[in-house]
Amino acid sequence: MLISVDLYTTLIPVIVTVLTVAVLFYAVSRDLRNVLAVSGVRRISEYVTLRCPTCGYVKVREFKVGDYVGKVDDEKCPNDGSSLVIIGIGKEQANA
Amino acid sequence: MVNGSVILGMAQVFQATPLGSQNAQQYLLYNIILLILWFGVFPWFYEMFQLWRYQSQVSSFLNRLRFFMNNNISQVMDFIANKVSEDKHLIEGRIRDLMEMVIIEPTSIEPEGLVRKYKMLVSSYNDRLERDVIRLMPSLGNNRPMVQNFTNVIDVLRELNFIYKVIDHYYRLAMKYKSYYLLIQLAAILPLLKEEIDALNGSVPVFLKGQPIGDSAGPLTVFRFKNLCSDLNVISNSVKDTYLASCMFKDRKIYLVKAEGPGGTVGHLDDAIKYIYEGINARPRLMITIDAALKLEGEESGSIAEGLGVAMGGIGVEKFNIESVATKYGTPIYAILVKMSMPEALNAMSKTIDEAVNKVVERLGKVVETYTEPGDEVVIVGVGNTIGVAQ
Ligand SMILES: [Zn+2]
Repeated sequence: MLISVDLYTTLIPVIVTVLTVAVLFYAVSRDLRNVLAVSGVRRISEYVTLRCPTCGYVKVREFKVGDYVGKVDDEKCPNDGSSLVIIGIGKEQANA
Repeated sequence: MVNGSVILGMAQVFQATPLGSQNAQQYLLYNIILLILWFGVFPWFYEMFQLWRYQSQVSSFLNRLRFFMNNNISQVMDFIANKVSEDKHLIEGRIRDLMEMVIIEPTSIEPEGLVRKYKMLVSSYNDRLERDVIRLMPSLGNNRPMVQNFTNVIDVLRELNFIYKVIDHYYRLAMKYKSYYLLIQLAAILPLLKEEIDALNGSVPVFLKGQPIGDSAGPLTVFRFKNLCSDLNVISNSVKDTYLASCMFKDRKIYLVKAEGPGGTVGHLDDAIKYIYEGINARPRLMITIDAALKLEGEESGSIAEGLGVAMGGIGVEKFNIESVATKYGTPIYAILVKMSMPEALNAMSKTIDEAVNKVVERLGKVVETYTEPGDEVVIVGVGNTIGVAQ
């Protein structure tokens, strides 16, 4: 009878302790994940929209440092040969 | 053996459950121990655990923030590595000095003239930063957009540093006095701060590259609207850092106002509007302000809201001045807002916002047609940082 009492009084605290530690660990790691997580926006591509001022031809290409909206680009319009103008710069992302 | 008998004794106490209680003394002892456990030990444990939990949250947040700042500074140094010839260590040290710069708000005990004082303070702050950047890197001196973008970067770093120092202060206080409630308050505002810090942190490379940000939606709208109208006539050299032009749209004379790009600046829109009324002596029938606005969590990014009043953020100096002029001359003010989150407003313009701007341009045309008659004069103001958007 004494032995069973001992088992009972030792096993239960051990189980409780293990469970508690597990729960605590889970809680803390979840907290930290919430605080540390980098926001889920992944950048895929940065694009530039070019437009021909005379005929309205539109083209999209990759962004280069030095591009800005309103810049007259080196590229020429295939229809009438006038210089294309940047009318928009943006980025596309996986999840907004 | 002593230990063994103690354990046995405890076992007997625990065995003496109320059901099998024969010994009243043991029963009492059992209840007292339980009482102490429940009301003395467990709550204490719980509080210790919570304290530790919040502490780990706040301290890891601070570590993260410190990492962000250092990372941003090294990004800045990488960016300028092959662009300027000055000593890099000196530049880094000076940037860290500028991050510590304090701005002391004017006292508001006596509110008379407060707006003018704020305006003075803000413009001298911008001037000072710009001049410091030029002094730091004289080789950038003739590239004004670059200087402006750099000024923006330093502004962002200064803000990150300020947040770090304030949170660190309260964290240290809480730990010094083991203040549970102070820590809880800190931990509670972390999600809000995290949003802001992500936004600020992401904006540094964007400012360095000179890309349009979400906040550029207002100036970008003006830029695209400009392409729809004819007889463009730039009114030059009127106001510093501000673009002012007139054009014709469906027989209405439109005054376009925006910050002058493509460098990162918000311009002096209030001065430009004052110039329209008092320099050119125009009497606009309607004023339309377009700005990016912070969305609520439930609202969709890129959704457009219309309303009345000056759409403009910041301390409120320019807003106040525009309202004053409009009130003096009785011009109704119409607002068009592009909703976006804080990270979207400060990071590279997303496709959603880019497309929303096209819709705003459309709406702008409709508003002008609906609320004014041919022959009227209209002011269109694109509010926001014009980085990456020229005119
Ligand atoms: Zn063409």
